[in-house]
Amino acid sequence: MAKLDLLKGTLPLLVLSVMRDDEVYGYEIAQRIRQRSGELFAPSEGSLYPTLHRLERDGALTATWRASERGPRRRYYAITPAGQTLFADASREWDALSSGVTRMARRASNA
Amino acid sequence: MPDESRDRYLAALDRLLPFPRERRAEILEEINAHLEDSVEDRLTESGVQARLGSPADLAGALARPEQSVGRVFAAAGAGVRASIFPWIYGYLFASLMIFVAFFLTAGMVQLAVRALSVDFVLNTYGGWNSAITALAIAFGLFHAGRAMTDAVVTGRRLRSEVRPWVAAIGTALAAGVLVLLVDMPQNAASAVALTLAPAGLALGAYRPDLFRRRHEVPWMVIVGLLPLIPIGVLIAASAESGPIAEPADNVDWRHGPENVGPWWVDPTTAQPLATSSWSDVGHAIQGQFTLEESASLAGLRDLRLEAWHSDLSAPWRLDDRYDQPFATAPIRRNGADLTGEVVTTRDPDVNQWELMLTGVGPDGTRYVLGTAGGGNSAFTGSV
Repeated sequence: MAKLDLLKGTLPLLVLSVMRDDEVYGYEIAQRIRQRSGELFAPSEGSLYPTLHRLERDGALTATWRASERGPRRRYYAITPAGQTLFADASREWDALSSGVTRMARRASNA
Repeated sequence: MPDESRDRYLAALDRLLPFPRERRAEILEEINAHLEDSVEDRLTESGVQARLGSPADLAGALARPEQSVGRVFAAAGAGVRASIFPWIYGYLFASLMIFVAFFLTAGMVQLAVRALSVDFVLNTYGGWNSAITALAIAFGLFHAGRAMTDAVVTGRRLRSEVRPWVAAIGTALAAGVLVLLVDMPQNAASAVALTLAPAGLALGAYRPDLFRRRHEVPWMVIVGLLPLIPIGVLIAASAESGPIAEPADNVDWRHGPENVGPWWVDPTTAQPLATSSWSDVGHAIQGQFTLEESASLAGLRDLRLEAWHSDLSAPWRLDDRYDQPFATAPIRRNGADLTGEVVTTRDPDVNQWELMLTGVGPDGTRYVLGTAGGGNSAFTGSV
């Protein structure tokens, strides 16, 4: 529960971080986050899809339906230039925040 | 292979998503694909559904970013904007239809009267022309209510959420406009008009398919009915030699102010008033008089402003069916200025009125000092 609280609000950053030049659909995005975080982060799909739709509405992502070789067609998301800018800004903020939290945690543990 | 629980989950999500049908279908398809991929990866259906959250939670999370106050206002604005042209279209279309129907009815009645040799006059006096106009307005509002709901639903609200608001706000606005701005007289026709207009708007919101949306239908009706107009003209022209509407026996159409009471000063020899006029003050009419310097009101008491039913078509006359004013008010005096206010639009059957200045003489008789002119009650114009 503590981990979830700490990660609250970072899902858009995690989503944008796994999207580069290719198009990815929702299930793949969840898998990538899980794999690239070394199974540390496992975003709830109940939050993932609202986040994807919000990023799409804000212009950070575009979505396209594509047929699948197996099963139903899927909705592929691609990052836009605005999304890349948003990711760069959010990354900087996250770096500043995490380094600040790390410094405070270290001081507290050294005290 | 989707199981029944997925069908139930997706059906519940479909019911709860506050989006238009196409958008809901896309979301359901995306969630279904996600469930399909998860099951292929050997995850359990129930486990994946649990990670998605309940349909209510997921629908709420998907809708929340799009239900900000700003978006609601934007949707409302879009609704109002989208309803303007349908209203104009509906109003014009209904007006044309009513005009044609009215014209034909009048012609047919004339023909029937001649053929049957009966004494019947088709009379729209008494405000029923207001009701007919209101019917056209109501038909326009039906289109407005339908378009407004469609536009607001497109703005990411559930149709069932939107309808009561469109009906309630629209009804309040329509009633407010009719009561406050149009300032209708209180009669049965006004009641019909007041009922028709908001009902049209609510009907558009709740029963949008009552009148078919096929655009060619109204044009077909118009084109089909237009040839009937010259037929109606011919009928009406041929009916001119038939019975002409005569005034009722109990109406003295030459009736003048002297029947209200005797003149205080013979108007052919002198005038106690230098000026007399009236003006609108809110919902009331104010009669304004200025006394001549030489005029004396000595001996007169209980000066009153009286509003009488009248017929303003030339020559000017009062309506003899009434032996009392329908409204009176005391006169305030400030030096040579006399003023009084009466409401002329709130009594039944008041369509045209005349303001009189009266006072009671030493002999107890109420005398006429002058008139301030007359006018039409609002919203009684001819169709």
